[in-house]
Amino acid sequence: MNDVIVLIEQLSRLAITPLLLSLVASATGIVLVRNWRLTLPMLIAQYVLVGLLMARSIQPSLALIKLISGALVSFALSIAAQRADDMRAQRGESIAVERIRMVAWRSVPAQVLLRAVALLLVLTAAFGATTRFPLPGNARELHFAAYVLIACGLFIIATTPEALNIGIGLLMFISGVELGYIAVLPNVGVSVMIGLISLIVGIAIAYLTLADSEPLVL
Amino acid sequence: MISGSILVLLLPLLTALPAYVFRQRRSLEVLMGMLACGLVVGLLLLPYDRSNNLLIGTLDLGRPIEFLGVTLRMHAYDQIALSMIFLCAMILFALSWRTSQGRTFIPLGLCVLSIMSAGLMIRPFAYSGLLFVIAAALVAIMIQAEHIGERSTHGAMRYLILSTLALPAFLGAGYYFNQANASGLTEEAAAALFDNASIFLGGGFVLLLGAFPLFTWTHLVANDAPPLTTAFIATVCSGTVSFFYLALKQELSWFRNLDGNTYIVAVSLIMIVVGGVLAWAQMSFSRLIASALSVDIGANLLMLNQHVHQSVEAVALNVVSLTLSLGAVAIGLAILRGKARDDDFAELMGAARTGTSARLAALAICVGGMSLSGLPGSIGFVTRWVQARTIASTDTELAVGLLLAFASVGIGFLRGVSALISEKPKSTPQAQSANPADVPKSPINEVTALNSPVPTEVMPMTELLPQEMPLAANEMSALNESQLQVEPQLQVEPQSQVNVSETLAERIAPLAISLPVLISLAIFYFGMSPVIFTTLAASLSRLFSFYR
Repeated sequence: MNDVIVLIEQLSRLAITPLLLSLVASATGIVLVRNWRLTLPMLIAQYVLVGLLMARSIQPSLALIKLISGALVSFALSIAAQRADDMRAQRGESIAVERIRMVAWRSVPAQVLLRAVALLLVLTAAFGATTRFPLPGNARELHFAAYVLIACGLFIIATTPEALNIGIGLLMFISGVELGYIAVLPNVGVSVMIGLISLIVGIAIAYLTLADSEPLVL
Repeated sequence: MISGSILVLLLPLLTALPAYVFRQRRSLEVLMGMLACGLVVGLLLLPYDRSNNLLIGTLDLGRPIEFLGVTLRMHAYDQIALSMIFLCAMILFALSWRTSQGRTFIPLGLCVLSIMSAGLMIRPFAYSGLLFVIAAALVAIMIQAEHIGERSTHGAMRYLILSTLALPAFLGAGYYFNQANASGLTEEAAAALFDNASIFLGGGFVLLLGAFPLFTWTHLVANDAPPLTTAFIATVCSGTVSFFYLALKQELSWFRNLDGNTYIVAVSLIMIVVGGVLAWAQMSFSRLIASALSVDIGANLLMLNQHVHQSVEAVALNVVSLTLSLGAVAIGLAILRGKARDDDFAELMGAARTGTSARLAALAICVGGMSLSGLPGSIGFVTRWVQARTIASTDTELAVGLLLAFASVGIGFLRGVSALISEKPKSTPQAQSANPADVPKSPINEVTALNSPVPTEVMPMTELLPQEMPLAANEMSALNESQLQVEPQLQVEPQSQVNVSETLAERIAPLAISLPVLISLAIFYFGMSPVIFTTLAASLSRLFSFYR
């Protein structure tokens, strides 16, 4: 465990720009793609990046909580999503793997283009908020990361109807809030509690994902 | 020495596990839920200001517990608030005995009770917001219950999202509160920080209570969740948040001394107006309950922002009366939902005539609905009267508006109940033939259709016939004869007499249902209501002297 903590500490000392760019890339990927087989790995990568960013403000051992809770949540969501896909496959509906193997290229521009344009606006707004409404404290880079996660999370919540995708947006929002708060006021208790919130919200979303996958019962 | 707060948290939490194990045996499950709540209420009735010797050791209700920079402590006003919350939960658990609210209702309900209690007692208050979000995640599972299908998760998701959105508000308020308490600040600077904290706190409360933006979770949850779960959220969860608001007003002088959060007042006014305007016109019970909840949340927020002790009484009374009123409506609705696909008035028309349980369900809805609207003589009247009186002391027009909104809710319930007790219109061939899609295409089919007892004002049959298929002369005469034979069949006097005699017993049902309303009115006019009101208000006034 000590080696992992040392590794997190060393990684958190890397240059901030690659970390921020990776975070923006992961957020962009999650917003643009609505296939859980792609978005859940991106979510795990995002949790790793958030953990590394947090390790710049708090103890690396506490940042590890974020990584573990994120991994557990993603694991729970993937089990639920797989089960939901199994049920859809039994009904003859298209599932995530098929949509990756046989991409409907004709419909991709119509789906992705609008999201991409909206995402551009959201990212611009996040950047503007960082400069116009800076959070207290000096860690400006963490503030930008927090604003990006909050804005993208809200964007996903507002634009998607499925429980799983809304849940992923909600988890991004919670990560953003945590990152923003830790940058302003590093606190062990709040970190632990938000880790717990992520876990329980993740379980609730997994439950709702399963319920959402069934055909409508009147 | 055992801390009272730990027992309040652990008792429901530890009972939740066996309740979940025995979820297939509902009686046992309900018993466990009630037992846990009863034990906590029993503990909370012990004196606060001295140690109490129990079998397991000495209990000190006010003893604080500290960990990770967090303090968990039950104050005297928390003791009363918690006892009311657990009492309400016990009532709702008892009501779920005969109507299934999902297998997770009691186990998760106990967990939610424990977490909400922790949220009420924990300090710094930023942690309360975190705990309320955890509770909201569990409530989302309760809302979903075993309800499956696409678009079935909207209510649960909406509740979870709005509660999560309150998270940054509480964290922000906590941050500004810490900064304002830091040393070396001028009074003006501290006041500005406290103002920021109060804005964040107000926003958090408004989101948690489901007041802003409009149509937050109320309509979706009332539609998707089992009825008693809706009642649980509206009473136990929202009640705890309301008590938490009052506790903060008690503890934080800057929060108490604010001149009223004007934007909270504005939001509550909008809630009352919109709920009142919509309630009377609703066509389903779930939407009607949602509108009633909108009015109730608005009135509750107004009470929370008043600076008089009657407002505290009103908030406390509201938790109890809402539990009883909404519990009665919910139990009735749960029974009726088991008999029909939906809870639309049209779908449930005549449902009260289908058996004893349906009649009782209609009665429960009637009594609960009238209580929700504050009909004199009902428990709801006590709350509504205190609310209206408190507001009337500062703003008479607003008090009148509030009463009108409650009356609108009452009208909505009267419409619903009248639909339940009215006779269901039987589907007639006339109704079928009125649909152009059902018009028979061939002349033979038309002959068959016209042999049925249709009224004379039906469209002439020559117009019904397709022009490209002219009838033969003998067919036309046959059709005309059959049309002429229709008219005498419409005069079915003997049959209608039989129907009247058969439905004589059924006509007692509306009388039985309207009886409580009449009794309530009679009690009111003969002066019993003021007696009930005065007794309850006096007893609660004594209980809530802590808040003054």
